[in-house]
Amino acid sequence: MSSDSPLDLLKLNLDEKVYVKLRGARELTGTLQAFDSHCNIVLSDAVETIYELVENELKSTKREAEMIFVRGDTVTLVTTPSDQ
Amino acid sequence: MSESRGSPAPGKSKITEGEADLYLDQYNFTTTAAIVGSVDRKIFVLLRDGRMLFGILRTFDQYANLILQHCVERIYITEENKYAENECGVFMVRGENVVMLGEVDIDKEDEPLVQMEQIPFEEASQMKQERDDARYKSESQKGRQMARYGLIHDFHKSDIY
Amino acid sequence: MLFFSFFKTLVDQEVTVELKNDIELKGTLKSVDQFLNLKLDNISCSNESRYPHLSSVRNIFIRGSTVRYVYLDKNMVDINLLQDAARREAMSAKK
Repeated sequence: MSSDSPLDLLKLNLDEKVYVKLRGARELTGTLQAFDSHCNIVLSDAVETIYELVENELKSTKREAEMIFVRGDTVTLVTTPSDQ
Repeated sequence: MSESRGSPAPGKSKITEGEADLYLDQYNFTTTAAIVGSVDRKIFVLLRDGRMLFGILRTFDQYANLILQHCVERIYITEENKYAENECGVFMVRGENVVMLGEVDIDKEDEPLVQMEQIPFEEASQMKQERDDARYKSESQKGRQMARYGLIHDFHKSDIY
Repeated sequence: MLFFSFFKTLVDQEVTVELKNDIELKGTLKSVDQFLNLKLDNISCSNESRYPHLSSVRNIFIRGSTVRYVYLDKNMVDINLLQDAARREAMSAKK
C-alpha cells in the first residue's frame, strides 16, 4: 500500500497501539480508533501521562481512560509506541 | 419525487415527514441552535482572558458573537472567599474569545455569593492582575524547563481562563 | 465531518469534557456543531470553587477550541463502525 500523505500513516495504525504526544506536557498511549485531517483522535484503553515539575524534578502521573476523544490542536506527534 | 416515498397523498408543496426531520436534524446541530434557547435569559460567559461576564443575552450569530445587556463583570478571589462586581452596560463579545457560556438559574445564582464578602471592584481587579502576572511568570518558567525534557508546555497571556 | 457525525451519535449520553485549563465538566451531551462546540445539560464541575456560580448553571455551551479531551464510555461507541468511518474519511480527504 502506498502512503502518499502523512495522515495515511495513521490509517495503517488504525486498531493498533499508538503513542501520541501532546501540548501541555502530556502523552497518551492507546488503540487508535479514529482520526481526521485535523489530527482529532479517538483512542481506546488509553493511558495518559502528565508530566509536572516538582522542585525542578520531572514527575509524572498516569491516568486511564477506556475511550477518549483528543482534540487535534493539542497533538504534536503520533507514532507507534517503542516497547521499552 | 415525494410520490415515490409512499406517504398518503402529500400535497405538492408539502414536505414529507422524513424530509422535515432531515431539515430539523440539520438545524439542530448548528451553533445557532445550541445558543438560541438562551436568548433573553441571563447567562454567564467565561472569556479566554479569564474574565467572567453575566448579562442578558439579546442576540448572537453563528460564530457565538454575543450581545449582552445589563452586563456585569465578576471577579472571584476564591482563596480569600471574596468577590467583586462591576456593571458595564451593553457588551458585544467576539465569539473567538468565548470559552463557555451557560444559562444562570436566577433563583439560585446568589447562593454561592451569600457566604462570600463583596469587596470594591478596583481592589479585586488589582488582586486578579497580580495573580495573573504571577501565574504567567511561573508558567513561562515551567515552559522553559519543560522544553529541556522535550515537552511542550506553552502558555499565552490571552489564554489565562 | 467524521467527528461531527461521531458526536451526533453520542447525543443524550453522559460525557466528561476536559478543557485546556484542566477543568472537567460532566454532563449529558445535548448538541454538537461543525466546529465541535458542545452543549451539555445537567452539568457538574470537578473544581466548583474556581467558578462558584456553576452550581446555578444547568446547561452550558463549550467552544470546541477550548476542549482538550472528551472522556467516553466504551459501550457508547461502535468500534467497527468508527474505524470504518475513519478509513472512509481518510480516503475521501485524499481526493
